[in-house]
Amino acid sequence: MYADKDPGSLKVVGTPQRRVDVLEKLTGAARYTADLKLPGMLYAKVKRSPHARARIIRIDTSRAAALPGVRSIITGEELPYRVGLYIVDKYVMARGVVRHFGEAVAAVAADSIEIAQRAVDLIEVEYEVLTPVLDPVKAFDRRSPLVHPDLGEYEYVEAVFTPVPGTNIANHTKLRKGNLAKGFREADWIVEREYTNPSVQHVPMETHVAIGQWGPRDQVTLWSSAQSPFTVRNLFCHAFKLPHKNVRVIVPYVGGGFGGKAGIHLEPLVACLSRKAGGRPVRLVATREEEFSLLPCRSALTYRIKTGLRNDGRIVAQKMTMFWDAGAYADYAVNVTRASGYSASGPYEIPNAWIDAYTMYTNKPFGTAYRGFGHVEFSWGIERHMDLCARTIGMDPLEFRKVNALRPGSLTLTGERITVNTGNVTKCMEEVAKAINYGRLTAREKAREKRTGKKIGKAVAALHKAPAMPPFTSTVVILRMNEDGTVTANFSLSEIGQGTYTSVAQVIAERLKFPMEKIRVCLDTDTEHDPYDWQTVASKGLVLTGNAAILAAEDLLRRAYGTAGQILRAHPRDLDHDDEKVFLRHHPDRSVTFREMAVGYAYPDGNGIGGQIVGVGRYIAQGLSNLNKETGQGHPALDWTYGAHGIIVEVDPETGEYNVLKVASAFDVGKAINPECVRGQAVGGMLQGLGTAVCEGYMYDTEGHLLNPSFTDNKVPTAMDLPEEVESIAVETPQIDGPYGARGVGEHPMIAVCGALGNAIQNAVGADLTHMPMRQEDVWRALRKKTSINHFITRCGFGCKR
Amino acid sequence: MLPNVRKFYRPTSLEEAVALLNSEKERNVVLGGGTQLALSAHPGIEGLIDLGGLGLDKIERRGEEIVIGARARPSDLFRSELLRDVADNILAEAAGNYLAEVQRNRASIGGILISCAAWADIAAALLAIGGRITIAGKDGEKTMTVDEFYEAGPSKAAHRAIITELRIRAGGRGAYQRLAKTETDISILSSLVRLDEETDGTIREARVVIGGATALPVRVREVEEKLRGKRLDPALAEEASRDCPIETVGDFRASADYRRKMAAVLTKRALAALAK
Repeated sequence: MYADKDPGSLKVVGTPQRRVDVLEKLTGAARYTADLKLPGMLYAKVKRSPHARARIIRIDTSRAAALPGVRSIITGEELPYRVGLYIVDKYVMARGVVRHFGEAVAAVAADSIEIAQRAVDLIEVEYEVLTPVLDPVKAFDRRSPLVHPDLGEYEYVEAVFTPVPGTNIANHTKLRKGNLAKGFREADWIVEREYTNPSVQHVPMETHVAIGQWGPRDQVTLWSSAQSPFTVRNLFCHAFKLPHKNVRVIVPYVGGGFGGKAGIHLEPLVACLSRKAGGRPVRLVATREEEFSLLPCRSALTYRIKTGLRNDGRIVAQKMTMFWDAGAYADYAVNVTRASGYSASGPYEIPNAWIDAYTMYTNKPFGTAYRGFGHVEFSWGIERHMDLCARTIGMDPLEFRKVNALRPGSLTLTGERITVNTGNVTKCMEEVAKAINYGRLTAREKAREKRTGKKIGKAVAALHKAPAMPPFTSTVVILRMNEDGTVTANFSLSEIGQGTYTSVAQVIAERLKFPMEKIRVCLDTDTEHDPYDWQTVASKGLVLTGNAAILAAEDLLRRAYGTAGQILRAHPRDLDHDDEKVFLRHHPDRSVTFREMAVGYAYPDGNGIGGQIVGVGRYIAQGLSNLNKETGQGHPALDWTYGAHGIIVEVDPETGEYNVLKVASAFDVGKAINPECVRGQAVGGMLQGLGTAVCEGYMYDTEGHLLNPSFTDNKVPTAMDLPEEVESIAVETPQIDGPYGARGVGEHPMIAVCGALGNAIQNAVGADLTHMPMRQEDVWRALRKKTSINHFITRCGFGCKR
Repeated sequence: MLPNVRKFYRPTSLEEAVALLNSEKERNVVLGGGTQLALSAHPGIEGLIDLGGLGLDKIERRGEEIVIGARARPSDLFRSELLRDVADNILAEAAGNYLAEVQRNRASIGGILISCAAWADIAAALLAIGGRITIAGKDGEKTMTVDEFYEAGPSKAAHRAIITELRIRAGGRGAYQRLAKTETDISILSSLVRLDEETDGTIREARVVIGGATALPVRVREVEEKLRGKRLDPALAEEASRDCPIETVGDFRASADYRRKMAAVLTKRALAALAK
């Protein structure tokens, strides 16, 4: 919508407006869920399983119940409610068996956190420990124990997913394009390798927090740090068989989500505790340690790629097999598998493709959505693999990428035709290549190598991603004019740091021709007062809500013109507006202000017309379809955002240490509605990507205990770890059906950073790595051709707490 | 959470603190900075003895020695002007790498010595600098060298006793090299060196310490021997550190093999920095 607007005519869109939430967040005025204190509120603590897989023999809560100040205790036995996004496979709390380390087996609500913790310590649980399923590839073996023997009985979204009962396969996504065998026959080379990465944690600054109050007549109110209030309500109602009108979800300020808060998590637990405590509100604040195992993580991936190449550099066939480690519950992992299953080749055209993507149940903390939704993980393999392919035929890796890049006329894996307005991945690659002086070392860099004894390497990697969402995803924006002519906007995305609320306010201001300060976007969300949105995920917020905002603004103008036409005795067609007034085009001095009409226009004698000016904009994704379950063909993509990273790294061959000197990132955002928000996403996502490439990752012992649920042993990068130089570039190929031509760019900065870094390290010193994170020792071992160390499951030495 | 703590003591004299620690009636433990106790759920602990009232948090110069009170925090060490005169400030630098700002502002140097985590470079730095530790027990005060302290094992050396202060010699030159995943990471391995030289540059005493290789920091006597009585130049730095024959342990942070090889590399770099 308005993708063809002359940029010179835009007043607010395209300018670096200050974020609408910045002052509240910087001064501490913003109130988060954990800041709320309700009258009579109780505090909850959870008893967690110390085992990865065990039968619960007995839970004795009698000593805990006897503790003064304890108001309610719940165990799985009394909660026959299953929840699940796509496969309904998870009880609110473990019943009969525990399926992962850290799973909730009992919970307590008490007058204080201390009493609740004391009570949790007094609960005795007797387990029969069973051998856990830990390796997602071994879980594939028909002889493997089953994590979910009842898989065949679970409800699931049948149009989209394919669980295989009697196995550990929660979902099998298939994609078949062209003729694979023929493609391989035409190949001069066949390049095959496996790439792996472990689970990682989202690490939002605010941990998961929920307050639940189960009121009279089954009226339930939930305050939550959730990303998706309507999805919480929907799944909650489904689990407890309550009408939607009974359940209200309120989301105040949220301190980051990154996908970890996209689904439903602690809300059923606090609601059940509240119900048992006679309706008193109950609050549960997850500890940082609980974030690592009570709450979900990002799935690990084992990715096998077999590529057929011609001597001229064209990829002619590619077979891709993914084993996603879902952990104990399917949650989002099945959909991560699906979304990855249709973009698994990266932004390259593969004429003959074959994908089998499996979501494997294991006895580990479960995987959920995480910024990039599978793309960061498979991109690691693809981008490393593209370099291996290029090296095999002696071609420059950037040139190789350009030869195979998706371009107008190309068909994606699902058979969608790329057009000029889809975006330009080649341009993104060229921009970052220029920014890092790709292909050579500058005089300064050569001098630096000489001075330090370290080696400098460079690489470019490319990426793409479309929103992973149901084809019928919709949203609504409601605009209400206040008495003074200012406008209040309601819509239900959670502002989790991405800046969409600011950008949507800019879109509204632009379309209304109002100054930004006249627009108020309501940052907190309340399902009782705000209109529907599916979720705050998938980098779809700006595109869908931005379009709805344009439609709402136009609806509001229509109402205003209707009233103004009566006042000015003119046909609405002859009206125009600006400067907060509606006027006659032919006689601009004859006008009426929006303020005068805001809640109804009153003539001098008191007689009124109109009424409050309200605009409603509804937008639903267009032209999308489910994918054929056998071939994977169809139209899943609202839009494709392309991008590329260029990395300069300096590697110490003696120790394997490395230092990222520069990252240049370019994304084809269509239109940067707010260039500062784009840059914020680009830099933040890039650093988050570097974290997973360099130092993050879950480690387990052979019994499935998580060894590093802390910031001591699971490092995340800080500002001190930023590359010496960061450059962010916006390419703008307008998306015709995006608001003012814009596309989403929330997740993309995190994708392909890992592959680019791995390739740059290899170009610097020759270390050939197939597992991330790439620790110093991994680089050192690769250089000395020593076997790498298994990162998933390890033995525990000194210094570890367990 | 310590479930059975009933009493909180804040003694005003060391004797009182030691008596409480040796009480037969109840199991009391010392509360220094509390960063370790905060993680403990030991059911046997009944009382806490807060050392905050004993004035043990000073860092001061006494003649040729710098005296560090046992309750001084890593952040105090990090900022101390006095420590700059000791082996080129390596103790303060190591203190700056102790966990995160929150812990640096709370933990006590005495507590760090007692728990002596392998990754705590601050403990390795103390061994490299050398010095004496004063410990108050029920039989009065005793002092021992840092070397003796580690040899006995920290918990044994200070059994039912309270570390009151550390005395370290000013002067000397020092170097510190470490391996870590990120800037704020604790060390995977570290090498710390102190050299005391005659006016003509001849090395009178060399202390070369590896931290993170095993549970306690260790001195690498073989390297020290090669340095003593000689003048350090790049060739000697290379020669002396060619082999670092120490025992190393593997864990999920790094393998024993890698640690062993890196011990030599880091030591070479530390000595090379001093040879410039």
